[in-house]
Amino acid sequence: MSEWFYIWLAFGLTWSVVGGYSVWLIGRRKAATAALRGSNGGAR
Amino acid sequence: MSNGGLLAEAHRQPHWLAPTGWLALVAVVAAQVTGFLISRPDRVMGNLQKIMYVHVPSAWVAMLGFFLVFVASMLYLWRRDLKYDRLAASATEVSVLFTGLTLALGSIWGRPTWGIWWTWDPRLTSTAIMLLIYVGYLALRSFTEDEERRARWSAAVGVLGFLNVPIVYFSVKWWRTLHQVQTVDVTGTIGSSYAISLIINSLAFMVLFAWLVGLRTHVAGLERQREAWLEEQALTGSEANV
Repeated sequence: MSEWFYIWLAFGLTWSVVGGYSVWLIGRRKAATAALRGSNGGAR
Repeated sequence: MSNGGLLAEAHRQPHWLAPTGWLALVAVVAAQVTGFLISRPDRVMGNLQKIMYVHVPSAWVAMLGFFLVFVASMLYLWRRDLKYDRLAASATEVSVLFTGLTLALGSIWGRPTWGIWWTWDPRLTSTAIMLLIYVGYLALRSFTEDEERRARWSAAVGVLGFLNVPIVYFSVKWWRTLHQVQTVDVTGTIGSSYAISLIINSLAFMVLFAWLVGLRTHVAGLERQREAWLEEQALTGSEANV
């Protein structure tokens, strides 16, 4: 296989994993913040 | 402080977190463009050396992250403050992610270069052991509901597990086998232009790592506050029923 296959695979894997994890974390923060605000009667 | 005050305080994320996130995004894009598009093919490896701009920074931040786990675990054992436990657990999760990437990227690079996806080379083997130790750390945390006990057990693994990290780092010097020696060594094993690109990418990955750990720790703090509130509600409810 061409060397570019491995290069794209490496960069694609890296940024899919890091990007996916970042999006998951941001979503989890959003959910946690919403749950906490709900608990606290909407306090900021 | 009232419960309302505690909760309101927990909503706030550290002031440095958002700017660090944006800085990480800009730094990583700029560094990766430099490495991917601007760097010239290597005389021996050809364009495959570009994989080093993700493989080496991932390995560096993973090891740096495990050092942070070690420091936070020591601080927990000394101070018994759960914020250090949350920091250690968050740094472990992010470092495990980067260690997994390091192994996968090394494998992707090894196939066209060495002709194999995997070999039991000391560097590869010790890195795989490091990954297993810290996956074990994360698994251990689900074994008990008791916060203090979980933090104590985790801190013990966080301190003892770090013993393997210098072995990973020095494995290429102690047992010279297939894996090359440290990429940017004081003796200089690679060209300066590659070294500069690697350092730029590694710095960008460090900013990204700081943001990820900061965000993960913040989320852990929010979830802890929510659990505390639920426990308090349960307690108030059971008292009212008596």
